[in-house]
Amino acid sequence: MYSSVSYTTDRGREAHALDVAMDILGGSDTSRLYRALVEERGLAVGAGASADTSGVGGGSVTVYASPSAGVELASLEGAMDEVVARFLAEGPTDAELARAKSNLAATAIYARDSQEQLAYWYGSSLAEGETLEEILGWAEQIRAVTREEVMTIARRTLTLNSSVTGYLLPEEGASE
Amino acid sequence: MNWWAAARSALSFAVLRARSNLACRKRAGSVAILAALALAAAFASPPNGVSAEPRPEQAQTTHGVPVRRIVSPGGLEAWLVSDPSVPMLTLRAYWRGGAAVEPSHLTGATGVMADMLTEGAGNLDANAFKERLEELNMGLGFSASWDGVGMSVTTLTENRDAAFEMARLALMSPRFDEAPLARIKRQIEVSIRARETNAGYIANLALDNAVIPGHPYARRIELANLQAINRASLMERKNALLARDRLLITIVGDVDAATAGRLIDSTFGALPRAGAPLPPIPQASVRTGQPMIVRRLPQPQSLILFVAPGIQDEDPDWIPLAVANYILGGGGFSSRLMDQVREERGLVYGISTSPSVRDFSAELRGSAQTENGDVAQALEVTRAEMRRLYQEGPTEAEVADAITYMTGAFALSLDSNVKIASVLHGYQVAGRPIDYVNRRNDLIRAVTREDVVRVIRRLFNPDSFTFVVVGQPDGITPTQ
Repeated sequence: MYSSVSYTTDRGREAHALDVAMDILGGSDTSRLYRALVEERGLAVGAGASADTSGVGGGSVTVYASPSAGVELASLEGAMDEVVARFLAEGPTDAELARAKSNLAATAIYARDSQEQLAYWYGSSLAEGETLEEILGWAEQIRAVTREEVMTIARRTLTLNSSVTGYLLPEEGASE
Repeated sequence: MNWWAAARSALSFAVLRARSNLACRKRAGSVAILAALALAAAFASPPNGVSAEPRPEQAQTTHGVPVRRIVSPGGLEAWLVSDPSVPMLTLRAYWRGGAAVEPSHLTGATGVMADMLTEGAGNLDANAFKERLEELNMGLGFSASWDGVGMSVTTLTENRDAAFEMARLALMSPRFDEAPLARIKRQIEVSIRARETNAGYIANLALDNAVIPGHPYARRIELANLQAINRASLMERKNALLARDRLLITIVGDVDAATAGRLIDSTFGALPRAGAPLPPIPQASVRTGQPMIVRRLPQPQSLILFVAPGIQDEDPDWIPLAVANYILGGGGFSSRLMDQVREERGLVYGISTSPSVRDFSAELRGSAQTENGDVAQALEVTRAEMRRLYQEGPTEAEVADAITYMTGAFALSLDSNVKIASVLHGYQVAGRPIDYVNRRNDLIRAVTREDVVRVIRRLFNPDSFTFVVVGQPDGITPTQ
């Protein structure tokens, strides 16, 4: 888990860019983490990343994986860090960037299907200090995010020095 | 959690992969909708209990759901609600025949087949297929339950035709490639290994073995079954089950009848006309009042489940049962069990009951979670409350409150295209008439106290229930 900006604390489009970055890194079955750890190397049965960009005092990023049978957590963690390091070094492909932006922007249309989701979206955003213009322009700003913005915020956020790692283990002596 | 995560997850059906035989769902819709909006609230209520549900007074349904039956040019029937207000549409399909009709050598194959339908089709391997779904901003998912296979397609209007082409491809030309199959089997293997420490899994299995022993619903996938699943078994299940003669379709959103008919034909028209005959499954005769079961699991809390025979949703007492259940344990913080066991005595974090109907079984089920030290008293109070309701019946006020809530809250389950599609499709799968959605509240309003008393005398005898406790309960002696 890493600390990050949120829509309240960011400057410009940083939070938008962070949401796009985390979608590419770990937001779906086509993400970097899922492909590398679950599909290609078979080390994990699930893997991904998500950004919580909604906090008044800042946000956070979570990167996670669940091991396949017999895989040590330490080696899985090492593999996760490799995927993150490679993403930070290479950046996203044009196709990854386009997919992530278009998918996030489409959620603004799907949200209109649900009164509850619309109320939640507007209510929570206003409570966190955003303006109506920012809410209405969200999808537009997502579409405007550039590769450079993604890389800048990803590199600033995903530094191991400002992260904490947790393992969930069975009780000592518990049977497999 | 960002606001859009909910919208996103509604599309990520892959996340919902219901592993058949590991976590088989109840029949889609019928129970959840009729009996238990409030139930859902009870199950989902946070244990700290801040969920005071709003209770609309005297809510009248004045706006019906404009649902109609259409027949596509190719002769396929569907239920349609056309509503252009949001530029999106959603389709639900269901084929009768699920995991319960698997031959034993194919145990688990139906669920894996359903998962594998979105792991590559036609010229697109798994990754290319999923990338295309994302490019189209669409949701496409399949899942198997005990009784059937379900499908869901959600798309923006602007990508409609391309999205339904992906659905057609998944149905007609799935690749069932080795690499994604190996991955899914790896994922299921981990869940099979983990379930031995899962209180819910242990409790449900113990109850199934106690009250419906030997029935297909009591079966579970084992590692050997998993290893035996291969491309041929997936193909066999797909060809046997996904045919037009057992298909039910609901389509809701920004689509007119002509377009809906065309989409239905292009998506489903090339499926085989008839699938394999579905082997007969016996209606489970649910045993009553079996001895108490205790399964030891090293954890500070215990899970309590209880079950008794119920009734099928075709039964004339089904709607009075929904009201009766609301009063006993369905109504969240309005129910007697929650009031007495949790609120008055602080013995549990949550306690609830609900009718549970599958095609071949009908049960009443309840659940509670508590500290190991409180199990004995929680059981005692639960039984006492059930006996009190059984002997004295409900008050007029309780019946009136239940009806007010159940009818008033119904509108909240119809406030989006996706929810309307779920509710309608649930009724369609349960075999209800098409206008049921607009009659359902009147049927509930017609329930009298006498109806509720009758159904309580018929079904809520506390001695009919079998209890299981999983954990390290103090002072409980298993009787089996």
